[in-house]
Amino acid sequence: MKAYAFERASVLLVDDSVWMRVILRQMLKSLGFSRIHEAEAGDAALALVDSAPPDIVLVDWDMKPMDGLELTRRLRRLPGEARYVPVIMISAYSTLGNVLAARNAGVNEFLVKPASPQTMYHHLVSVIERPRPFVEAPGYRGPDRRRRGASDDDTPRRRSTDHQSPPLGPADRPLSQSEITAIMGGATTLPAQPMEAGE
Amino acid sequence: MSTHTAPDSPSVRIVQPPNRLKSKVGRGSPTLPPTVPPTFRALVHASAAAYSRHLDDQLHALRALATGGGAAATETLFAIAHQIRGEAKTFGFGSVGGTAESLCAFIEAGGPGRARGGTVVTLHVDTMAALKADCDARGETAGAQPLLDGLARAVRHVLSPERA
Repeated sequence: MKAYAFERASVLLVDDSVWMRVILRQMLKSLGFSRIHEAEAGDAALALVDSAPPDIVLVDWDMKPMDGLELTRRLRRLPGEARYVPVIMISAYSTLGNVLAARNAGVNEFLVKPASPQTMYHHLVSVIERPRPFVEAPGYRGPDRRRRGASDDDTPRRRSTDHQSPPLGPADRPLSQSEITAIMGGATTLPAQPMEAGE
Repeated sequence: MSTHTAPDSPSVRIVQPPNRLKSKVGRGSPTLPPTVPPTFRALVHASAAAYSRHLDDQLHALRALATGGGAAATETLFAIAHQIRGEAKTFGFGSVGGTAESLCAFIEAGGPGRARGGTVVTLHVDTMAALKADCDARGETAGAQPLLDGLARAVRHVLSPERA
């Protein structure tokens, strides 16, 4: 199968660490991206989104003064189609509390440091092939979190288990990437036949 | 773009936005193309020497902060250790990153405020410097594990002396 034409897509990389930006830029280049825009702070990222809307945003959690969660919330409140942009959060902290906070801020995918080309590609394929509907509710704006393939997937109701803590053990235990993917609402393995995109 | 409201919650709007990313990149393999990892390694390798010098600067800063004490110094110390934790492994200093992770956990558990906490912080910084020198000389080796095990015992001794 041929490779994705990543060179046609633009990506915005937001991280206040110059060396993390080096790592992620090299990773994106090795995947074929050539239109890589970078920002070291949330305000600069929002300005870039305004001037040249990216096709995907990679954002670090731990930034100051605006962290990745707040940046994601602001992106989700933008007017127009910019608010739908897929957001991949990158963090070294993969505890249940952090993953749920990212999910509730409107993040699409959660990537645990140290990032590898394999995990980055997995998350990219997920947002490309399995886009989620976008929910706009009084307390939440972001990707629909209902589990893919669940029997109630065609209804707007939440799963009854959404208000319960997943049986994952201590809240400060680092989660595995597959546990995180399940919490974010996705399948832990990619489908053999990728689904058609929404449009 | 399709839009509808939730039947049992009219204030909830559900939108199926256009998949701009898919429309641009087209179809592709669900698995990572095999050419990507070596390309990535080569790109990172080209930056490794500069990162090594940067890591030396960070370790010097950590050493100064480890003996400084105070809440502000501890906060800065944590910020630097947190950066090392996230970056070092990718550039071939995995054991240094592992030690930084242990230091972050120790600080988050309030270790620097405990009796002999400062000694354990200094021990982490010395260990990172020694492992960094090893990585520079011989590359990443399995020889770091006894050091990391020893650090874990020191951390337990300070945080939970009754169980150490």
